Amino acid sequence: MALTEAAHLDEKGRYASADFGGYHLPSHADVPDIEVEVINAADENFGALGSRGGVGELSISGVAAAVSNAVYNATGKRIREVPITPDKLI
Amino acid sequence: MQPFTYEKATDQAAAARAVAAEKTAKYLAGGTTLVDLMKLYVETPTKLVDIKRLPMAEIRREADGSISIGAGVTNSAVAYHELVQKEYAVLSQAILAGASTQIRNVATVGGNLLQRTRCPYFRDGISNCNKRTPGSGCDMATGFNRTAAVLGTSDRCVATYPGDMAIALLSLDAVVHVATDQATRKIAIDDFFLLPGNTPEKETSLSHGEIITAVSLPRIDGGTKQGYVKVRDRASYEFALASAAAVLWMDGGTITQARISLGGVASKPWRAKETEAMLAGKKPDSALFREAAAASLKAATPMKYNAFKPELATRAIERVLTELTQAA
Amino acid sequence: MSDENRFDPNVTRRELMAGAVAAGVAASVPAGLAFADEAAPAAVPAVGGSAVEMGVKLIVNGQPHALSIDPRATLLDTLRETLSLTGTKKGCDHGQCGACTVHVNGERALSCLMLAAQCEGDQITTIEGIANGDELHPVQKAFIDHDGFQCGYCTSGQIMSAVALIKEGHATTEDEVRELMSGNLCRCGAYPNICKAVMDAQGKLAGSGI
Repeated sequence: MALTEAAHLDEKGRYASADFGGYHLPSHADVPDIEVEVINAADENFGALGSRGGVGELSISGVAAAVSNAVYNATGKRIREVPITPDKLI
Repeated sequence: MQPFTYEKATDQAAAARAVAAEKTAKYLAGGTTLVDLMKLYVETPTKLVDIKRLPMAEIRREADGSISIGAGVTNSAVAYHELVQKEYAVLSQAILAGASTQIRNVATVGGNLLQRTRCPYFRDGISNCNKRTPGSGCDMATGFNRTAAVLGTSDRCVATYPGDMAIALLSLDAVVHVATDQATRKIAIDDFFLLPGNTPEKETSLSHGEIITAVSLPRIDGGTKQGYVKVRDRASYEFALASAAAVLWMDGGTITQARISLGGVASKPWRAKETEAMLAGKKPDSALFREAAAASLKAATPMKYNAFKPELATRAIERVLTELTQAA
Repeated sequence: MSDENRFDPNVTRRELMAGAVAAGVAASVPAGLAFADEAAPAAVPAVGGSAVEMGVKLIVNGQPHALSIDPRATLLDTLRETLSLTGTKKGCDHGQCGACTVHVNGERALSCLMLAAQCEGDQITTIEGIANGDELHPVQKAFIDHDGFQCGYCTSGQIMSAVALIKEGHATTEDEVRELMSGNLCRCGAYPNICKAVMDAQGKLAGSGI
């Protein structure tokens, strides 16, 4: 979401990225080692099990913003639209 | 796919005759481009002549010091060949920057030269595309043209040449060897690819039935520095937004000669002649690199969504030059 | 709706899928044509049509097969539909995902981009052919040990790619493994665990001669 996977719709309503060659899922080389840290504190307001249900969907939300901040720190450019592709830094 | 007849070629002359005899016949080598485009009905041959097993799969040194690469050699075999890695490193780097191991293991040198544009309006089978259906128009020019070319385009076609290998071959002044059942000829790589002009459907100077037999690389005299920089939307397994191949001859701290070519930004593999001229006889310098790189993009004709390409290509050239001269 | 099209609770998932595919073929048009308007290309391609079948001898996982196939049949479709070797997966069918990776003469290749006819006489190995009886191949074992998958659809392609990658010997670091495994996309994002599995299996296989 932060760096890849742009779905481009043209003015006539056709997808210009209609296959895996145009719609870029991250490849092996895009994904670094990932460390998972479990926050070991129950949140019983969220659910009876005390865990924040939906580990993927909730925790992923901050990642694009964090990556965008990293891009800003590295380049001085504040990009406000994802994915952040090379053309947006020109 | 449209139905076709399939036959295995027994020898090169017979293959050439079989394809020449039928206007809509095609050669099949690795198939990584052709089979893909046949599924999309972009290619609709009525006969395939399989040349994969013809004896064209050898890399050898010629008496004049050049290297001959058979048209049937796979991309992997070229990229990892000792002679190529040692003397033509830019070719090895460019090939390994493209596609994936699975594709490089099957795709051949001859087929790689003939790969076709990734323009989405060419591939979708329904949009107006002068390359696919001559005279129908060009939906890329007015559509989502982020990946379109900015150099060498015409009113009829703005599609980008997608490959990496040919960009390196251009910087090595490679020669394409072709044959019919009667004759052979050699084509300089820069003349092998055609500008779209009014006939974008015609991409190379091959005649129907001519078969690519080999690609030769002239001997490189003196030590050179060679490199390939590719900028793309993800880290691997993706076509270039812009790429630059460079071969530099250095004498002490001076660049005596430079050959630079561009991919991802032009309708055919593009020689950056303006940059080359400005570098000859000069000492490496970041301001010079910037100015010389920009000179080759002066003629660029960007459109609505690809206005970033001239600057991206300029920076690709700057980067390859900087990397090669810093490593001194 | 005729009786034979009624839902039968005893139909297995695979039989149901096979029936659905057959029905789909009968009504098939190229996906693109649904879009066609006045700007449609002059030459609408002939769809389907009959093709004369041809005899092809394939060697798959050491077994010879004499087949009569449509020349248009890809290696992938022949493995799955004709030989019922469904471990090899069809992802994109256009060489953009790696799910269909098999070995041809020991080298990894995309079975969706090859015609079966091209592979006559070649040694083809699929995911069904790498274990030694009930004993998993070390790469298969490593994928389980390191949880190298989530949904599993890309897994047979990832494993076939990894087995070949280790043999090729060009990847010694994690970064090299990542680069040379990049032809196998994983939508679930199991990449870090796949990478660990490959490194682990590579270490175990070093010098073992497998």
